[in-house]
Amino acid sequence: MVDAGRGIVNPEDMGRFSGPALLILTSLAGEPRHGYAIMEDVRAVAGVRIGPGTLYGALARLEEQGLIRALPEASGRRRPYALTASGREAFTAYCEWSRRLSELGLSRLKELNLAW
Amino acid sequence: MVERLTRWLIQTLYPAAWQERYGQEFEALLENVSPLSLATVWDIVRGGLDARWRTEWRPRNIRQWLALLASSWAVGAGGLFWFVPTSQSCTASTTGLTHCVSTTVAGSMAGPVAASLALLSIAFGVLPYLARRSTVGLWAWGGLVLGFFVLSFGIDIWWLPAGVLAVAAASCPPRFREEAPARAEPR
Repeated sequence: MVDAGRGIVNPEDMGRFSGPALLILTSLAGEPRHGYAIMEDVRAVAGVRIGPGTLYGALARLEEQGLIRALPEASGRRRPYALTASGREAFTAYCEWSRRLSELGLSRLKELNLAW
Repeated sequence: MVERLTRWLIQTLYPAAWQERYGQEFEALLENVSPLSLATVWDIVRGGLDARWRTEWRPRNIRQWLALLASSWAVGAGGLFWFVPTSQSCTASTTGLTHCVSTTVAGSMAGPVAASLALLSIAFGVLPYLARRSTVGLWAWGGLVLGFFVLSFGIDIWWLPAGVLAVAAASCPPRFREEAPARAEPR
């Protein structure tokens, strides 16, 4: 996902659940959360409702990719998830890449609006 | 009712390994989101199919990809079979114009066609999967391929039997015999 030497991020590597995966990573960047807490946080922060099947599909992928890990069960059957070191590194690189792209897009849109 | 359906869907659709790893926390999550809407149930179905595909169904080598492609082709060809003209009857009218009517299998047997198509699709989709796992499935798959091959010879569609052979070649892995449990030697 991240070329450590050049800091290049390939968003395609986020997989088929790229949207939900990014939302989950954003949620877990705050603190470790279990499945339902992730759903609620994503709904509160992004206004997006992730279904249970989609959520666990994305969680399984992220875990396979080594970007998140399951923590020991805190209480009952709920298991919280947290970013791994490589997950933090990859998501940081992705966010920086995304911010540069957003800033570029906004500045170009500003120029375009001035031209009109 | 919906909760029972959901539990059944999880047990049926999701792979055993997935259930062992995520089953308990998934059910705990569903307790929080109940009552379940139809959209949520559909999301659970999609998640199950995705988990199956990712862990079990996705082809791992060229042979399995060939089997998938050939099976897909067979379903398509099997569907086309019903709609390819098999005969043409022409009648000359009193004005001297010739009127021809093409007959297709679907046109002459519109009723059973839908059911046959559905069965064919299921057979070509499911039997190769079963053939990899049991001797009965292998025999059923072989019988279907042979029967379809023989039937196809009576009709002037050369690509149909050729395709069925391709499916047979691609779908029955030679490793099957090695994977089958060895019978105990009689004492």
